[in-house]
Amino acid sequence: MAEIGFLFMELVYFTMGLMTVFTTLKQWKINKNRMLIAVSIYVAAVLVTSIIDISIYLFDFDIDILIAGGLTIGMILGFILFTIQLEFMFYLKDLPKLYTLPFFASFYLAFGKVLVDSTIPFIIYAMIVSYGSAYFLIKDGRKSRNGLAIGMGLFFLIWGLGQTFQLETIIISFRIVAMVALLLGTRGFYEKYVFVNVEEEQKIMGTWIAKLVVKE
Amino acid sequence: MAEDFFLSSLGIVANLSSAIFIPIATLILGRKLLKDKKETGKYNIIRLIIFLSFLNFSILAIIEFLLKNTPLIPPFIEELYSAEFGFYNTSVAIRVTLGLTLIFYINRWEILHFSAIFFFIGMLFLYLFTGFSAWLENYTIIAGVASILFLYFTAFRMKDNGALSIAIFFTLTFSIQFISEALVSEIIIISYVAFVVIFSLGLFRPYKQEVNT
Repeated sequence: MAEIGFLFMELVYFTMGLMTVFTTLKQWKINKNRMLIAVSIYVAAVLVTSIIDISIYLFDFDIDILIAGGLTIGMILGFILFTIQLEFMFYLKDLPKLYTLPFFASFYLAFGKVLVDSTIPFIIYAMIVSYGSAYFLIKDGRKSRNGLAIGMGLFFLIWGLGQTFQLETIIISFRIVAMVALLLGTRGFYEKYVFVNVEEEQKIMGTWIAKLVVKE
Repeated sequence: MAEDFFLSSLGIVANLSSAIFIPIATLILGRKLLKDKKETGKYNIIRLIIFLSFLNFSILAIIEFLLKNTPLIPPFIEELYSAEFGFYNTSVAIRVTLGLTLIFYINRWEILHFSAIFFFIGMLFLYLFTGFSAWLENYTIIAGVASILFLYFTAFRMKDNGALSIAIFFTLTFSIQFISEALVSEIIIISYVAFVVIFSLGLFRPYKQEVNT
């Protein structure tokens, strides 16, 4: 019964992910902003892992199959996702000199997992990638009033927070909330309702003062 | 007997000259680097890589001299020096890593700029965490040969004095790894010390024009 609940939640998450990809692609067709295509690729990668999760709930797949030492298929998928996430970050920050870093980091962490069965380096790496990306994106998004960057930052933050609990229900719930935050970002929610338009406010205030002066 | 005395004397001369002249050359290169920074407001990355490479070699030369010719170095440092991921091997690996980085910078292969450094740091962390060091020797040989070949290739292609100097310096220092004959290796040490002095004084200029980076 719990599996059906998880499956339903995963399907909701997947559908929202698809909506996000379609929205970003639609907007990319209009303004050809490279950030949108990068977001689409990243969310598509997230959706691939979601398909695997759906298959696990539907067909009872086991992704904890050991490849060598303590390295499992699930962990390799995690490394691929973190590599894409970091690449995405460096692409957005325009840091081509660091493009090879995620590959080497993932490679050595995976190899280390083969030699020593410890998840500590993986957890540290995951935390740095998730919270580091979230911090830079939210900071940049606030500065440049970019709702999409805020959405991505919130996605990484909430998604990362969910992972730390290591409880299936919390992980999936946080994932859905993270995807909602991203979807809102792609649909211009933050620009409309969160950022206060100073110019517009001053205009309204100016009109008010003008009206008062005329009355007096 | 006389041959042994000659060889040990030559060894002392080689180590001593290496421990004196290479740090002096490093200081000269460091001064040039700072002067350049003062004039342009930023570090010239190629000069910085060459300086770091020489700094690394200076430290190694001093420790090697103290280790081989004086009783000043305690035994635990001697162990650290000659361990598999010890000071000597790490120092050589750092130098070949800097060599590769220099090639990537000169050729402006931006994506690869830090890749050799990331690869080496990854290997170091892997060793610290798991104790695995089997790749270090292979990496040093492969990266060393690759960096020497690419440095010559880059030096001839870009007509760059810095790359050519480092290529010759690397060839001389790297060849010692594979020479077991004491006499030959001491002569090589003396010749690279002589070359370093010529290079650091700015007298090695086969190409008249400097490459702008």
